[in-house]
Amino acid sequence: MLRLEHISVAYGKHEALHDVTVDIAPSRTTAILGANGAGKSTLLKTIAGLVRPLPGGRILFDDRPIEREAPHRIVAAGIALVPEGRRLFGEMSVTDNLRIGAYPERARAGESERLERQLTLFPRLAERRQQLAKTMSGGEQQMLAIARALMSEPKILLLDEPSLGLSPRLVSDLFSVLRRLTEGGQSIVLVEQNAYQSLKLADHIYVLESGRIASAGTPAEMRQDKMIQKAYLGL
Amino acid sequence: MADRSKRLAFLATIIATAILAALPLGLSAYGVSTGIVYFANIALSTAWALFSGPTRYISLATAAFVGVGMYTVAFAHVSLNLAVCLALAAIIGFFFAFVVGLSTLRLRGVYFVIFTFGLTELMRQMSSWYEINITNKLNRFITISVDSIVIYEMLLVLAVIAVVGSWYVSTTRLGHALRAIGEDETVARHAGINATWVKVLVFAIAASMMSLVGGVYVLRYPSIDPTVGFGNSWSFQVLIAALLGGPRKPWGPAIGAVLLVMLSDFLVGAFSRYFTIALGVCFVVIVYFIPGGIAPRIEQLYGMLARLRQAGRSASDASTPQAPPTEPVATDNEMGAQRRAVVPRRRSALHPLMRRLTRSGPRLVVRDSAGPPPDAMLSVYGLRKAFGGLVAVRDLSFDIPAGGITGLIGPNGSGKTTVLNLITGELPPDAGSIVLQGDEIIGVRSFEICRGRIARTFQLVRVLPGMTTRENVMLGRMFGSDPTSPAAALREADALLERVGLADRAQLIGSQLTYIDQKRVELARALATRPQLLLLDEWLAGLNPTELKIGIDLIRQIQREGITVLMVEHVMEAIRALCGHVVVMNAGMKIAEGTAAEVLSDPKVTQVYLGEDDAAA
Repeated sequence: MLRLEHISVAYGKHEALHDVTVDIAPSRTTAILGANGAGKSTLLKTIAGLVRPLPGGRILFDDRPIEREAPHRIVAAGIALVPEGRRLFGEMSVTDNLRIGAYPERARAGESERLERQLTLFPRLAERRQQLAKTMSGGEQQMLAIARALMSEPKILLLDEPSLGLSPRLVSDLFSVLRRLTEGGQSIVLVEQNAYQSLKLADHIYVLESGRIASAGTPAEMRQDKMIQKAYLGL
Repeated sequence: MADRSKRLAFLATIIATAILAALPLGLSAYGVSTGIVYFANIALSTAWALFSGPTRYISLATAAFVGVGMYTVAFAHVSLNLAVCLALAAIIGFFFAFVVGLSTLRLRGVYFVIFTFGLTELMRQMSSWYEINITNKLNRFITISVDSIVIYEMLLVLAVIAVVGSWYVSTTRLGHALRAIGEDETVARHAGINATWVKVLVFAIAASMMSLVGGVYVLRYPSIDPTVGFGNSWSFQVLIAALLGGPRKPWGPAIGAVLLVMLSDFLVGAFSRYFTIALGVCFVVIVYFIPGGIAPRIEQLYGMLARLRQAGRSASDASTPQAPPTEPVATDNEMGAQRRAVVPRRRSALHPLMRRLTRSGPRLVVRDSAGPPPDAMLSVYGLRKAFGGLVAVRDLSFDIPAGGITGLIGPNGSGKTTVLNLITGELPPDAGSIVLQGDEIIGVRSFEICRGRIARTFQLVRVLPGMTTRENVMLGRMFGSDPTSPAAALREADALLERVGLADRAQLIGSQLTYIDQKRVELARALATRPQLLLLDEWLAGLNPTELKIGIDLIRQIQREGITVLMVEHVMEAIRALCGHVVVMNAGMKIAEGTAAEVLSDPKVTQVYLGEDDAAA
């Protein structure tokens, strides 16, 4: 469904990604593990068109190259990113933030039903439809950011550290929402520090180290890996 | 190397000034009057950029201040001698801008622009009204006759003072403070900068220069009327010149002014009838191709040449160690080093309470981490804060034991960050009291709280994006509880960067850092203010187990050095490892307090906060 071939990204002299090849299958959850600075966020940003890869690599979405597309065209094509730090429209209400999410042409039909669906998925948002985004707590903002991305009816949802700054209870709430989404057939690419939860949710794992794919496999294989146990599970 | 180029620049300035000063001897009357226009524009755009460059407050009030200077001289020259008139112009310009600044510098963005534009209009209308209704004629005559060579020389002096002065300011604490305010005013306040005072002061200094230029410039005219005195073209011309040259480099606006006057002259000659159209097209082209102005491009080119030369040299002589490319920031700091002795320590504008707090007393005694001592560093009592109908903090009371690490935990939205904002003076509480070592600190402003030795990090990191890692940290040292000169701050900043593991990224710009590195910068910046109480807002979020361990060790080490810590955190592992005392909040209220083991096994806490997973763990 989505395939990155030989993708390299550099910020000035610093190479953030080096010859990365990744395959993302439909209706699956792919988790990307790695230390801070390994290039995980860069990978997501590259897919979303916010960062340009160096020449030589390709990103194919449904067999169409998208590595030179503008970010809004990529959203329109069906890839939505929930960036780190949420990036909500602070002065807009919950409902308005969600409506903005449905901006792409493809997502406008059925906007209202989808809005209701998000509010069912995140009951906390339903209680606060008219509240301004900036006055909400960190956890609520994170929920809103995910809901907003879902409003574009994405074929693939890219999540950058969604559990960051959430209380333990909200983290498990978040992962149960994600689980419900995957059960509904949503494809997800997940970047997370919470390796324990990611391994439970994901169908396939990639490990990034200093911008390179260091290993890949199923969660079961990963759990056996001594290095993964030590570095990401803290065992 | 940097030293040599500085000396060269100094020498070049003196020689250029001397040549320009001697020029009128051989110049035609036309040449002299051209010089006058050049120098007036250089002085005005440099003065404009002194304030608006770093702070990004776009002012269209230049004409208002120029006009104030013109009218001051026009009114006063009848009865006073010229030197007194000019001094008066500078003083009136300063106080006029000071009052205007106090009332308007809280406006941001387009509101400030419109206000300053309106100010010029208002001044013009008022002076017209006065001249028509009170003096009964619109024109005011300038009866004193000053040789144009004298005007030329005076404006040359003002232009040189403006350029050298704004270069000097950029190397001082004041210059750093201005830049920090432009980058993120909230962070600047929390680093101990009295942002209001700094903004108003520099705005008034710049205006004073503008009035002085106006006061001299008016001597060319036989008479003035309000459209000359308060003509908007001054405001726009100066703005365009500064943007053209590069408003964030001390010498950028001067280059811009020279180019702009040259360009206007050329276009008037070449397309006399279509002059304004041609000028407009030129601006569009310039802004499109060099949005940051010309000066940064020239420095880039110079840097490239220097690197090329260096590469050539090191290729021919392998034994020469490769020095890093000269970087403007570093050189500024080296200049600071030479001046260290004369930079005064500013301790003014301190709240009397805080002056007591900031007096450098004995360092806190290092305490045993095992049991927190009974005395409180900070006590919160009956605190309440509501946002509209939503009560974020409700009747909250707790103590932070001195020398210990206190954890503040609770569900998202329970009011933890609001508590930090109340403690740091970011928000005023509706009720209650906050006592820092016996002193009530409610109503004390953020920058004074910082100088009172409470430092914080932000949940959504706020590194100043346009400043280097090192400059970010220096800021804390220069304006914190024990302010120092830029040079001293530089030395300590490097030690702090080493400590948080950023030594190799000191020169990176804030926006180039990864999320985690930005958090490290925030911690280093907070420590640089020399706090006795450090407030961490989810500083450990987003770390993997290895990084978390390093982070936990770092916080423990900070506590061992005698700094009391209050940490808002969701990472239970860290709470268990570090906190001797934990306060749990839910819906703005305290629902539990005690040791980590006590509160984490409390059924109330389990229910609202931990969920079943972590309670079992």
